[in-house]
Amino acid sequence: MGRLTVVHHPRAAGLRRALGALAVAALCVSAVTFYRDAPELPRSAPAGAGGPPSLTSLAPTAQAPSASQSPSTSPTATRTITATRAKLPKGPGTTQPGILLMASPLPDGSFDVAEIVLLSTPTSALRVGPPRLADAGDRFSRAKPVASQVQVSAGDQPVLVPGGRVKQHLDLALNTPAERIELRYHLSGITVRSVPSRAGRALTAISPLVDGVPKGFPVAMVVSGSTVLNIECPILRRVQDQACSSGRPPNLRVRPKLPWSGAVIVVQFDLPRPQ
Amino acid sequence: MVTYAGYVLLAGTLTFWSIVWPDGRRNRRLVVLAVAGTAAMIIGTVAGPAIQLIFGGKLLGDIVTPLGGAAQLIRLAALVAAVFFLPDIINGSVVGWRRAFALTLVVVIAGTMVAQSNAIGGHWEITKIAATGLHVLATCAWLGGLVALAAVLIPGDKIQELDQLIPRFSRVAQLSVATLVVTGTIHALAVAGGPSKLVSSRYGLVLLIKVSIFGLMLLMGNHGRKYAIRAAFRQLHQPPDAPARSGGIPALAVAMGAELSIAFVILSTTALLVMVAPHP
Repeated sequence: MGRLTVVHHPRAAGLRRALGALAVAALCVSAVTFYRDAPELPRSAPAGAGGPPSLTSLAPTAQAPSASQSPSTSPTATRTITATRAKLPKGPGTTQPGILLMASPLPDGSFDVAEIVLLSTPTSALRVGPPRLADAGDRFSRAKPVASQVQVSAGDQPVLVPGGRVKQHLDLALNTPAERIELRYHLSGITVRSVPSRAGRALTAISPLVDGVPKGFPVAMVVSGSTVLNIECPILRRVQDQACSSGRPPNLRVRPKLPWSGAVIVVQFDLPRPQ
Repeated sequence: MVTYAGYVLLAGTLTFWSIVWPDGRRNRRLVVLAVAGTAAMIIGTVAGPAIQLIFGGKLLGDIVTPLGGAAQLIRLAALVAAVFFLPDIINGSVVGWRRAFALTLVVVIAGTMVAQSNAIGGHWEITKIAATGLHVLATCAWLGGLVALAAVLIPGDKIQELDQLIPRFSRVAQLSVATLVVTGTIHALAVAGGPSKLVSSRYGLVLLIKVSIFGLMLLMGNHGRKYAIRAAFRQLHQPPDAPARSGGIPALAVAMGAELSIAFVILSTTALLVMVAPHP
């Protein structure tokens, strides 16, 4: 760099300055690109949490008014849910109107699911319904999905869910109008063994419980877990679009933001061996 | 730690050239300091995430946040600019556009360090960002200027502007120290969440250690300044054939060496503070 590139040698100096400016510009562009695309980077599952992060810091059994079942009979009982706020991806449900659905498989093949809803205007009632299996394919025709241990928060207020279960469409009344709503629940009865396939391979259909929103309401979906292999969007028309996951395990995202009416995904994952 | 040290060397030297001694661009030791600081910052910026990726078994999304990663890339851009444009900066007296460019590099690098600090997020975010930014700039002006001054004075070379350098640096140092005290207090209270939480937490304990070392450094600095003034006076006005007096430069070297060692401890304490700071 020394004497050759000092300004007394115009050509070398000019070349040095040009290279420098190019390198600086490239790094600045990289910085902007990184900032924009960093939420898509692969992340490991949070240690000790065993489930998707929550917008609030409420513990799972703290919601006495919701009359939810005790978690003592499910594999979720021994997990520790973090009490601190985790970083949520920007987009539907967090920074813009929509739903952010985050799901993690549990050892028994059921799923721990969180739905974070951000509405355009506050609402006094929330409509929920069971997962839509009709759009997931014939292999789920005999599945009987059950959303149990359902906890709902509207703003900071807990919402009563009768029996803590959603097996049919329900209208839940909110104490005060809210535009931010969070649901946490255990989804079971929805996993089928993938046949023919290697031993332990399974499929689950997931769609939001939240109902009564416009058909085009955007839904972002994330499935995390080291056993998750792939995500399929059966609603999408083009075959090449149906393989709709992006990122890498253990954090897969559904690449397009699906409209609520088409927000059904099929998750391929491996079941752990019985111990 | 390497990044902090590199920042002090590079940003401190650039600030020293811009504010205290524009003609010092001809001093080879200062150029070496700037280059060493640049290299240290590049290594610190790249090696940190690389080590965690390769040896820590973590994914990139776990290591860097969007803002933190972008800040590191911007810092690399500023460091690359320092590498490629340093010959132009020191080709003439560091005034005019050279001073503006040098100080812009300092501000940009300081900004990237603020973006990766615990000033982001939580309560009083704007206040914390402002306090941290000023704190970081004052650190480079004071500590970095101290290193630069030591590099100039201790070797004992006869320097024409010596009688101007020390008063100028003294003014910069006084302003920097005042800024450090005020912004450090504001930042500590904002991060801890109040006086009672500050005094009862591990963060408060480490901060107390840092403040004590800072006070010691101020005492050393005062002695060092007196030595430096006497040494500069002797250099300028001593007849060329006069016998060398005992004390003087060697004593100055001891005083400044002690002060710099304490500065190194302060940098280490700062790195520790980042680790024990409560999360927003």
